[in-house]
Amino acid sequence: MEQILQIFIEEAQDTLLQWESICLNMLKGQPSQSDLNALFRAAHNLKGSSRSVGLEDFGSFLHEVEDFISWLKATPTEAGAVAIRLLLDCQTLISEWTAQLDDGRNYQTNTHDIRDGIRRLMESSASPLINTRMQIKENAATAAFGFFDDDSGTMASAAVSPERNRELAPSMQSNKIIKDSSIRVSLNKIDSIIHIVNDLSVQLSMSLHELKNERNEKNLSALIGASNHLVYELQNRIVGMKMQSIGGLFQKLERSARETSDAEHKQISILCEGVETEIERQTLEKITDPCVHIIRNAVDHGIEPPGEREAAGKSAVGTIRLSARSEGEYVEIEIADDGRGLDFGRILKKGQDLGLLSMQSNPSHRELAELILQPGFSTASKVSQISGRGVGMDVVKTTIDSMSGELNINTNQQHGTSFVLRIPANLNVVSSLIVQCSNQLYAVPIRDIMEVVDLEKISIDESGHQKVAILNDEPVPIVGLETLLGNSEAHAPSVSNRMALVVGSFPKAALSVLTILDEARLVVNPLDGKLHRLEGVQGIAILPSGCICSVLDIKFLAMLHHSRSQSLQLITQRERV
Amino acid sequence: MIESNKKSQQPSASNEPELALFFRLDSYVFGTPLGKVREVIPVGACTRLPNTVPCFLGMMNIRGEAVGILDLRLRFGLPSQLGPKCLIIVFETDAGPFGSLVDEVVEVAEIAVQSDQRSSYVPIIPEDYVLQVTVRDEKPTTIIDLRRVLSSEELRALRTNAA
Repeated sequence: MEQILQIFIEEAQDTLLQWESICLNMLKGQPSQSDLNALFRAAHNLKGSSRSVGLEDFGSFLHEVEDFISWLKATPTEAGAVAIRLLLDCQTLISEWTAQLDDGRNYQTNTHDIRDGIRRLMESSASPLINTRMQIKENAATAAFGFFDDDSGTMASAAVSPERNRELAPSMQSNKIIKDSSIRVSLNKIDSIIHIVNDLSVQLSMSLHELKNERNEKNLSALIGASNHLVYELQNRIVGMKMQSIGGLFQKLERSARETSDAEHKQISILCEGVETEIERQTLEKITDPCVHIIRNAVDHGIEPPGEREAAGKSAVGTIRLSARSEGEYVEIEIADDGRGLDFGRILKKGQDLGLLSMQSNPSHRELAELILQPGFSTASKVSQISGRGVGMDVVKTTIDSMSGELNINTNQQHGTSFVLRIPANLNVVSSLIVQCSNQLYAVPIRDIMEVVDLEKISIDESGHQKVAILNDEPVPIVGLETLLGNSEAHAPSVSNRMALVVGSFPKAALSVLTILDEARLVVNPLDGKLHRLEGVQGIAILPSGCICSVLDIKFLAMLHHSRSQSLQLITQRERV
Repeated sequence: MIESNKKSQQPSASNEPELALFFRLDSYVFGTPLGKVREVIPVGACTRLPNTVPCFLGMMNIRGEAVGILDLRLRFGLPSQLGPKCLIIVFETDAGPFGSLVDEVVEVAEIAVQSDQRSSYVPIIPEDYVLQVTVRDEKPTTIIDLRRVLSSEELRALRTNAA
């Protein structure tokens, strides 16, 4: 039974996604009969399958929704924004309902408001089609949902009072289905993988044969080379199966933006670019909430009310552009609005009030923009339901940092703000440089390195106590990698370091190392429980030689250096005062 | 569920005599319940991780698996010393396999007699880790819970503060 339920949940989630996309589409123009037909089919399928797994309340709710859709089909004049919002609300409710089933919990839902909304809409219009099928059961409004009782194998309590629900909660927890998400994979993809595995086993048995009998080195190396190539191919394809297009995320973002703009009485249009860009499934899940937060902020703080926009000579309708593209091992996602832009004056004042900036300092626009990512920072003069509580942007930042991603903010007064997220598309297999520093080997992901420079061939400013390299007329501090790693054996200053890895855009730093030994594609294992999130280390990898090395998070290390030297500056400033 | 609860509360509740792996650390001999010992292996190269305490030797490659290794001498305040008979005892813990470096593995033996003299435990071992005191070669010998020494709470202390 559990398995059938699982299949039902997966299918329901697919159908609900479709439902959402049809509704969003209908909001853009006049709803067509074919849209309504598609919606009706979706509701009908859900109803049918829910009854087949014994979810009666679910089915009867959908039955009413179905009636509502057929009524809309018959009276297309009523199929306006109000009706579509109701349909979207239904979608949210059913999604929540399904999600709760997925967690194996008993779920008590309130369908009353939506039923009521539907009824009011249908009654307000003098339509002859309010038929006998439409039965609104007031007593069913607070009905809870049936769940499967693992011990008896029967359906238990269709209507549970809240008290009883609480009582049941602990027992449900122990019976909780262990959640394992699944994906659908096309048979063709599986066939291609089987094909490679077969080839691989042939290559391996040939290698073993060669090893036992002929021992011809040339043949052996050819065989091993071929196997190596197959493993690489296999790795790529299997990782590829976990990739998803970003379209689903954009759909979700569009929905959040519309909800926010409705609540704020703003008008927006949304443009999507690069919806087919692929990103790893778990990564996608992790960035969903941060992106929702950003887009809500964009609508709430960025986009101005229609009147203000027109006064500023802009179109009354604000535009939000969602775009995604692959860039090497990164995926870049941009959420841009054409609103009023960040108010630097207010940020500066707020930053000084909060003690994040000293009164004398003259921060750049970039540094000011970074300030909004600090915990507790909000310049919104009023706290709305959507944003302005100053919680959120710092969580966005932490989430993205934890994934070795980057968040950049570009803003232009009166022309809008854009948030650019750069996220590794895949966290497991990483092309890296193997570097030596003191007597240890470290791996550094190539995607994090902007440039590799030979310290003997560039001009270095050694006048201050911090060595500074001049790269493209820009000063970049040179930091010995070992000093950042707290390596107890390496307190000696790094005179012998010859190469430097230049890190990212902000803060920029050149991390000096003794030498670069090799380049390799490494399988990175994240550090588990005991050393989880060890600062500056993304994970560990086993090198071809069998040695273990740490895979460094050099962006974090550059940040660490930046904050250390900043606090040092603050201290010296204070001492002078 | 209930079974495992019983076991964790009363390790020697069953009738079967319990086996322990006895090992030497400096001049002391300790035992540890054999149950969760995965293997005993020779010392290999360890890779230190940045910003970790000295007693955490780092990660070692055991047949393609990266396993964290703890120097038990350093952990219990003895000076570090790598003798010819040094071995690594590998355990399964909640947070994956973990190894601890000891001076010598002595034997596997039954925990024969239980002694009530908990007071005779060796003071270098914090009392939290002591499971019981048994008698071995007519001397009181402390059975310690090495898995606990390696448990995640303890290992949180492994990292030094980077910032």
